[in-house]
Order: sequence, then structure tokens, then C-alpha cells
Amino acid sequence: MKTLLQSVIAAAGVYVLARFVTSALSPRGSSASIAEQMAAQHTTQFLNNLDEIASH
Amino acid sequence: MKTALLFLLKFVATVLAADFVAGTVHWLEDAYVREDTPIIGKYVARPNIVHHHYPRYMVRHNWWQTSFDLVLMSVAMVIGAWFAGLLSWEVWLFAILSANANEFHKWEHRTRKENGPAISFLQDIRILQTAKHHARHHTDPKNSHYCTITNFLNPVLDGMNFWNGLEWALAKTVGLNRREDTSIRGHGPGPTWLAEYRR
Repeated sequence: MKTLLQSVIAAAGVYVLARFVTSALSPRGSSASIAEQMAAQHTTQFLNNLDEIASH
Repeated sequence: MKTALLFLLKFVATVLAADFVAGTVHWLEDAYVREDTPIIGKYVARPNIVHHHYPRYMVRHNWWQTSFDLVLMSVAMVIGAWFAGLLSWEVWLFAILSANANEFHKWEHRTRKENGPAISFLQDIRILQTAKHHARHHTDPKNSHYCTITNFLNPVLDGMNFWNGLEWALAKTVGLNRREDTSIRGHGPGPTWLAEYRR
């Protein structure tokens, strides 16, 4: 019983802490919906970075 | 003063350790996990192949979709450390960073606007890896810069040919050869199922 309880506490602890760290840093509503909306607009930006690096 | 310095050193060492382990997992996935690898092939190789062909595809995923496998591994590690009596703040920090390694990676593929001011600031001051640094991993021949949490380890590991050396040793000793990366120019065109991600 103690083993199970420890496992549940550890799982909840990792989930909550890990999620908290990233959600605290991310802007509100930054998950899939906004990312999807902006993907079409900004898809080329990453590739532009590659070109920029390759040209140096 | 000495205590504060020791804490700082332990903190930095833990961050770098998490970066190194995440980089090692990333290297193993890129180099050796194939689509037909038993059990994990479908869940690891496929997303990996998609990511190298379409790096921005991953930004459509939410936190859980991006991180569930690393969260589960981190939970297992914390449980193991707890039962072994080794649970400390360093283990917690390592677990939290490791659980989020792919989320940090995703941020390197997002625009500054998508990331917002807090993440962009942490990238600007080099606490988190920058998009420009990670772009080198996606530049042919795509066999370097595997660590995705900070900018600090990659120059050291790639400078000493760490990953290439491991690959050479594995090929010479057990005949394990690196998987073909079809996203490299001239190595394509890649599997036909990739077409469904081309949108």
C-alpha cells in the first residue's frame, strides 16, 4: 500500500511540476490552436534560419 | 558563500546532466531506431522521421503529446530513486528538465511570437537553447547538435567527435550501423506515408 502511494505521489509530482514549469513560461493559449494558426504564416522562418547558417 | 556556490555548481551540473541524457536519447533515436524496430519503432522512429522532413510539424502538438514518453520515464526514475532512498532536489530537477526536454526542443522550432516574452527571454540569455543553435542539427548531414536543452554541451561533444566516435565504435564492435536519414539532400525521397504530413 505504501509502495503504491509513493508511486502515485511521485507520478503526480513529476506531472504537476513538469507541466507547471512549462505552462508558467508559455503565453496564454499558446498550445495547438495558436500554433496551428501561425504555422502556415511562419513555416518558412525555421528554414530561413538554416539558409542563414549555411551561408556563413 | 561556500554553500551557495556548491548549490550553484550542483544546479548547473544537474542541468547539463539532463541535457546530456536527453541528447543521448535523441542521438539513439536519430541514429538507430528504425520503423521496424520492435515495440518502439512505430512510436519513436516515425515521429523522428517526420520531424527531420518537416521540423515544424511538432509545434502542432500540445504539451502531453510532446512529452508523455519522457514524463513516464521521469516518473519511473523518481519512483526508483525514492525506493532506493536517493530522492533529492537534484533528482527532482533532473526529472523535471528531462520530462520537458522535448518541450524545450519544440520551443526551438516555434517563432518568438509563439513562444511569448518569457521563453524568448530565456533563449536570448542562453538559459534555454536558441532556435539558431538547434538549426545546426537540421543542417545536412544532420549528425550533430543532439542536445536540446542548452547551447553549452553541443560544441564540446561535437568538437571531440563524441557521437561520431560512438557510432564508429558500435559499427566496428557489434556491427550496428547508423540508420539512413532520408531527409538529407540526395538521400530521399523518404517513405511514402510521409505524404500525409505534407500539409
